[in-house]
Amino acid sequence: MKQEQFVASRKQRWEHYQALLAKLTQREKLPAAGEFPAQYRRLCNDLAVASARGYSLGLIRQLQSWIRDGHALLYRSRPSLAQNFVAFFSRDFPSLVRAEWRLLALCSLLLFGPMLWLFWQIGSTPEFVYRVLSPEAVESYERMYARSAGGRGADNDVMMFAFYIMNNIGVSLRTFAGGLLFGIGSAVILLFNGVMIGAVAAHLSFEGYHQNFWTFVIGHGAFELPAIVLAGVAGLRMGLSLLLPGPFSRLDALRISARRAVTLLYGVIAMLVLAAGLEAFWSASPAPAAIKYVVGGLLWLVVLAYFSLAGRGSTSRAN
Amino acid sequence: MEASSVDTRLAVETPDGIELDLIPAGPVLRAAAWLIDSVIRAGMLIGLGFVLSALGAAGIALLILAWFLINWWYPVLFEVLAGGATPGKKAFGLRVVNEDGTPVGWGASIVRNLLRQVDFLPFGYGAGLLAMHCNSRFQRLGDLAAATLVVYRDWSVTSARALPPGPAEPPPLPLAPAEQQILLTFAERGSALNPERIGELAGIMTPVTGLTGVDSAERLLAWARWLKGQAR
Repeated sequence: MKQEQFVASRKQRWEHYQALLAKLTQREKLPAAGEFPAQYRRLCNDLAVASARGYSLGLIRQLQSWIRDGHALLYRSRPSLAQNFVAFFSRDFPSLVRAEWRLLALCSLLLFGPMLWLFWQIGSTPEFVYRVLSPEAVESYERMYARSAGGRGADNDVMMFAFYIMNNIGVSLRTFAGGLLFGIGSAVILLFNGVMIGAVAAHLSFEGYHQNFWTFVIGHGAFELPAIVLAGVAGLRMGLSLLLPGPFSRLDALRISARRAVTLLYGVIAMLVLAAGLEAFWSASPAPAAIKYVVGGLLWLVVLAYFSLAGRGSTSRAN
Repeated sequence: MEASSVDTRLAVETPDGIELDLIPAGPVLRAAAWLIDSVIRAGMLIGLGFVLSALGAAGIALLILAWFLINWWYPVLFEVLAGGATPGKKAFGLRVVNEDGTPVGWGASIVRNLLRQVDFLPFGYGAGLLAMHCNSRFQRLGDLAAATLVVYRDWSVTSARALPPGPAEPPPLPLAPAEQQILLTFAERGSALNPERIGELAGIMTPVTGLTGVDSAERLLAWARWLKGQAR
């Protein structure tokens, strides 16, 4: 069959395919949608025939361009997270975190290690805080916690919520991305945050601001600090895959670990949104100190229980 | 995925047993697309700034959230929800796809866009540019980790044009499909080329046609008409 005959005999079907494609691409619900895959495969067949018979590149590229659009429509991935929301938080996320327990321990050490060290240092020599923070910064933190929480006003709560979202999630996303630098970026960000948080916490605790400080941070800290650690785990997972790729090429190892890391990141973002809500609307509320300690302690227990128990016993995607 | 040796074309085999061609886009076009996106993002923030700052504290809160969304999620949202292209990429006919040619999903888009942070290092996408030149597909580090490509949406240089009317005659010797394809494509491209170039290309075929220059081209065109089966 010559090219012109070939085109003429299929013209009608091709036009039908294009019309179907245009409608489906605009997300129109069609009763005829079910026939699209068959139409698409017949077009693929036409392309194979046209290539084998040596028809012109003009025709072949035309067919390819129609097929490319159909391919994009047919093989697009459905956003699976929305569908698997419950399965993700009840099973996949905590079991993925448990599967990464070695990195979890390492990242916890990178964040909490400097904190403990600074508590010890500043506890024995209070001036040590000025080797970490400038006098102006120390003074501004002291002013911040000079009075007890509360009375900030609802408007300010909302504003701070937005600020915490932007700042904390921004930090965690950067911690993740830094992992690509062989894990160094993530580790540095974790250490830096450990040092800064440790210095501020230790200084305020030993200088008489402990009540105002700890009642403020204990609640949202239960979500925020583990989230930062997990962002570090996600980053180091990527960095480690480059250093120790195992049975894969470095590129393949990076791709596999990036998929895992981004799954962790979904959980991290959810935790930080929760933490921002608590920080803005609960931590700053004028509730009595005793209640804040009890609720804060319970939140820590909930988080620890969630990560150690949730999703155990079910077959998990993470392993 | 198979790279061709004469250009940057990548042939990707689909589950339907055919090959799709992907043409990765280089750094210059992508930088231009990024520049357009940056202008759009700045414009969005300035516009929102004017409107929202009139709303007091709640407005500021919304503005901070908008800044967060535009700063971190602008490319992700467009790539996943708007057919693989931010407005800047769309303006240059570019599109982000997975390496197998399928549209990007959330995971891949988030990976490639968050790792932008590292591609940007030490300044001005230095690492990304270096990475792009270390592979044949112009992938920056984020693309490598996410297994994505930035490709041309529509890149056909030739379309199936009708041949100019004239005599048709069978070629004097049987042609293999690949040879026939070259002849047909040459004939279809004819109207897009100037006569000197046509003569030059047709001159290559002088040993077969026995003619030179434009005469050789006319002979080739006649064979092409016969092969294509175009009605007179």
